[in-house]
Amino acid sequence: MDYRICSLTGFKIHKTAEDLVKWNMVTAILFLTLGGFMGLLMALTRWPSVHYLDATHYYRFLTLHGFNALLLWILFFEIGLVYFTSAILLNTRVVAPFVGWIAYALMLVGAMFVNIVVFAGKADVLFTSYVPLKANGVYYLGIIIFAVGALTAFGHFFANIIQAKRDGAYKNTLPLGTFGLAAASIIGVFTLAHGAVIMIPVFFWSIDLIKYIDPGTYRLIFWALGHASQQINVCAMVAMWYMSAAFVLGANPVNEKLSRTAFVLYILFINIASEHHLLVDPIFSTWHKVVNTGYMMHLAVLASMIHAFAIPASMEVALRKKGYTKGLFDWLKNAPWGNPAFSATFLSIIGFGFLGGITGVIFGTEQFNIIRHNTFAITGHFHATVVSGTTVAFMGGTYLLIPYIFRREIILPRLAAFQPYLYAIGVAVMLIGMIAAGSYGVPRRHWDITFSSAIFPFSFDPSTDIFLSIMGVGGLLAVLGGVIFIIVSLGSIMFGRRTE
Amino acid sequence: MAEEKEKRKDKMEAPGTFALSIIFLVAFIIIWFAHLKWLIEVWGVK
Repeated sequence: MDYRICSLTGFKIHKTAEDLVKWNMVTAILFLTLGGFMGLLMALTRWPSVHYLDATHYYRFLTLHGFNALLLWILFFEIGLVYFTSAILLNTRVVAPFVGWIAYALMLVGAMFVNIVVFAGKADVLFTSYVPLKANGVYYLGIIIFAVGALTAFGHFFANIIQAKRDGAYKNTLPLGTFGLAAASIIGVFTLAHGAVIMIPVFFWSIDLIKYIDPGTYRLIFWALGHASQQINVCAMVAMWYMSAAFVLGANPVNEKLSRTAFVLYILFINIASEHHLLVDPIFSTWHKVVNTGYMMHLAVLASMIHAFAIPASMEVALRKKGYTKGLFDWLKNAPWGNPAFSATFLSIIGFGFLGGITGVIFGTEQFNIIRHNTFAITGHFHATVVSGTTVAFMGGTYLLIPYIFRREIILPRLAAFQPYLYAIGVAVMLIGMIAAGSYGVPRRHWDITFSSAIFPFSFDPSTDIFLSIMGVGGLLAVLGGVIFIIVSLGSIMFGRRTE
Repeated sequence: MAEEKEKRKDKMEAPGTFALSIIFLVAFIIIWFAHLKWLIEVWGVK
C-alpha cells in the first residue's frame, strides 16, 4: 500500500486518496472559472446601463452559469472532501481506487455533455429546466451520468468509512469533519435518487418515448434534487468550517454532541425545506405549507444557528488558550486575519449566517414568499448561501489543503490574504443590490425588465436602476476576487514552492 | 453571591461568542421589522 507521512499534519496519506482529492479539486476550480465567467456576463447584462448580452445568449449563459457554478464547482470540490475526510482524515485508505476514478470519469463526462449541448444552443432551459421547456436529450443524459458519478462517489465514502472502522481507524464514532461529510453523503443519496426519479422520465420525454410529464410533479420532484443538493453543500460547508478551525487554530468543538445533533437535524429536516420553492403552487394544501414553513424549516435553521455559534466559540476557546484573554473580543482582534484559510472561513460564517440565513428565514415564510417569489431578491438570497457561504468556505478550504495535499506553498501570499475579503465584500454588495431590486418587484432570471417589446408598457420604480447598478459593481468586485483566487490557487498548485 | 457570580463567569468558556450571538439576535429582529415596514411601504401589505 502506497502511503506517505505528511510533514505538516502527521497524517498517513494514501496515494490514491491524495490523487482523487487533487483531481476533483482542480476540476472544481476549472468549472468555477467557467461558471464565474458566465456570472460576469450575467452581471453585465442585468446591469441596466450595460445590458450586454442579447436574449438568446443571456438565457444560454445563465443556464451555463447555474450548472457550472452551482453544481460542478461545488460538487467536484465536495467529492474531493469525500476522499479527504473518509481516507486522509482517518489515516486510512480508499477501499476501491478504481471506483473513485470511475465516479470521477462519469461526473466529468456528464459535465462535458451538458456544457457542450448548452453551448451548442440546444438546451436553453436554465438550471431548473422546468417542463414543458424541452432540451436536447443529451442535456438530460449528461445530468443523469453526472448524478450517477456523484452517487458512486458518495457510495464510495460509505465503503471507505466501513473499511476504516474494520481497520481500526476510529473506535466509536467518526471525527466531526468526516461526520459532516457523512451527513452530506446521506443527503446526497436522497438527492440523487430524486434526480433519477425525475430526470430519467424527462430524458425519455425529450426523445419522444414518453408523451407527457406533469409540470407540477416535475417541480415537486425536481426541487427534491435542486434544493436538496444545496443541503449537501451546507453540510460540506459546515464540515469545512470545523476542519478549518481545527487545522488553523487547533480548535476543538465546544460541545461535540451538540454539533453532531445539528448535523442530524439537517438530515431529518432540511430536505423538507425544499418546499419553499412550491409555496405559490396551488397543488399543495395550506396545512402542508404551514407545517413546512412554520415548523420543519426552523428545525433546519436551528441546526445552522448551532453551527454558526459553536464554531466561533471553538475558535474563541482556542485563541483564549493561546493567551488572548483580555476583555470580550481580544481573541477576535488577534485572530489570524491574514491567513486566507481562516479569514475565508469566518467571512463564510458571517455571509451564510447574516445574509443567507436572515433572508432565508424571512423569504421562506409563507406570507412573505407570496410577495418575494420569483423576484431578484430570491437570487440575492441564494447567492448569499451558496456564494457568500459555500464558495467562500471552499476557497478557504483550497488555501488550507494546497500545502497538505499538493505539498506546495501558496504563491503571492499578500494577494491571497486580501482575496477572501475582496470576494466576500463584492458578493455581499452584489446580493444586497439584488435583494433591494427584488423588493421592488424586479423579477429573477428576466433578460429585459423594461419589457420593451410588451404590448402594455410597464416600468419599475426608478430606484431599481440604482440597486441593479450596485449589483453590477458588486459583481465586478466579486469577479476580480474570483480571478485572484483562480490565479493564486492554480498558480500555487503548479508553481508554488514545494513544502517537502 | 459575588463568589457565585465569579464561578458562573469561570464556567463560560466563550463569552465573546455569547456577546456576538446577542448582537446577531438584535440585528435579526431589527432587519425583520425593517423588512416588514419596507414591505408595508412598497407593497401596501397590511
